Formats: sequence, C-alpha cells, structure tokens
Amino acid sequence: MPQTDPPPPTTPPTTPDSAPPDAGDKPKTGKRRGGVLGLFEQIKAAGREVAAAARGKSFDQPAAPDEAEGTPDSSDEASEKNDWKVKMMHAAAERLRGAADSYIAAKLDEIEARVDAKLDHVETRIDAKIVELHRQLRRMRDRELRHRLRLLKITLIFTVVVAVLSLVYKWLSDYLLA
Amino acid sequence: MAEFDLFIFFRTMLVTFLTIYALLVLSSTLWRLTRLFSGEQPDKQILRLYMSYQMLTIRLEPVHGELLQIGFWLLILLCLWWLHTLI
Repeated sequence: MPQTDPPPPTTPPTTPDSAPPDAGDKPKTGKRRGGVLGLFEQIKAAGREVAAAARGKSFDQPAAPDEAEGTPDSSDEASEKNDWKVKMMHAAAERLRGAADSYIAAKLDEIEARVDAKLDHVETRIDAKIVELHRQLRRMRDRELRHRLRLLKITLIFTVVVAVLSLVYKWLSDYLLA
Repeated sequence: MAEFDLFIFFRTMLVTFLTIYALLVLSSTLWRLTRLFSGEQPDKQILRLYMSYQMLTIRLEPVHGELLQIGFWLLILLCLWWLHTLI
C-alpha cells in the first residue's frame, strides 16, 4: 500500500526561529505602552508632589529616607528633576489644551456648517411652497372670476330673452289693436 | 282705469323681485367682506395687502372670451331697449 504524503500545512509551523510578521511591532507597542504608562506614572508622581507642596511640604519630602542619607548635591538633583517634571507637565498640559481647543473649534465649524446647510434647505423648501401656494391661489382666483362672469352672462341672456318676449308681445298687441 | 296686462304685470314683478334679491345678496356680500378685511391686526393688514396685490395682478387673458360674450349680449339688450322705444 503506497503511502501518501500528508498535505502541506496551510499555515507554516511556528518555530522559535521564524518570528511572526508582527513580531517586530510588539516591542514598539510595548515601548509605546511603557512610554505612555511612564508618562502617566510621571504625571501621577508630579501630581502627588504638587499636592504635597500644597499641603506645605517640599517637593523632595516624599523621599524622606533619601533625605536622611542624602547630601546637598542629591537635593539639588532632586530639585532639578522636580522642575523638569513640572515643565514637562506644563508643556503636556499646554499641548493637550491646544489640541482640545482646535478639536472643539473644528467640531463647532462643522456643526455650524451643518446647521447652515439645513437652514438653507428648509428655507428653499419654504420658498418653493410659497411659490406653489401663490400659483395655486392665482389659478383659483382666475377660476372664480370666470365662474362669476359666466353667471353674469347667463343672467344677461335671460334678460335678453325676457326683453325679446316683451318686444314681441308689445308688437303683437299693437298690431292686433291696430 | 288702465287695462290690466298680465305680461306687463309679470315683467314688473320679475324686475322688482330680482332687483330686491340682487340688492340683498350684494349688500350681504359687501358686509361680509367689510367684516373680513376690517381691523388693525397684523394678519388683517397682510390679508388686505395680499388682496390688493391679487386685484392689481388680475389679467384679462383667461377671461377674455367671457368678456366678449357679455359685451355681445349687452349690445343685444341695448338694441332691444331701443326697439322698445320705437314700437
């Protein structure tokens, strides 16, 4: 009995050597996540320090054990680091505020354009309806006028008929009397 | 005493009744229109303005046939009136 070769696998087996196509992206994503998380951590730490400063403590007070062991050089370094964090937070806040303002302005412009387009559409429809109503009223007016004139004409015809009868009667009576 | 003429009586009564009827209809219509158009409300003012516009924009083209016929029958009536004076 001949042995048949098994069909080739549709998906190549994953080996330790063959990395998946997006294997190179994972470190980037992790780095990005780490960067974002790090930024959040820095922002949280800076917020804690600002809160501590608001409570009356210095920025480097949370690092109390370090202070006990530290020297004036380490204190300056911590102060510079703290200043750098504050500047970075300020820059990030300014950038976020600018992005939010531009986004809100773009959205407001878009909404305004949509409302203007809708109002123009409604105005066009109202104008068309007014023109249609005006044309319809004019047609009704002409029809009513024609109807009245026809009634007047019929009345006039009957008046003429009665006048003819009267004339014939008068002529016959005069002729017979004569 | 003048001789009683039935046709003259019928003609006189017809003219009398029709004149009274026409006067009543005309006066009631005018009164109704006066009540409709009188007033200082904005809607009445717009209605008066619009009716003035409608009256000013009347065209005789759609009714010129009826007007010609009315003119013809009026001419016939005037001729008959003149013939009444001759007999």
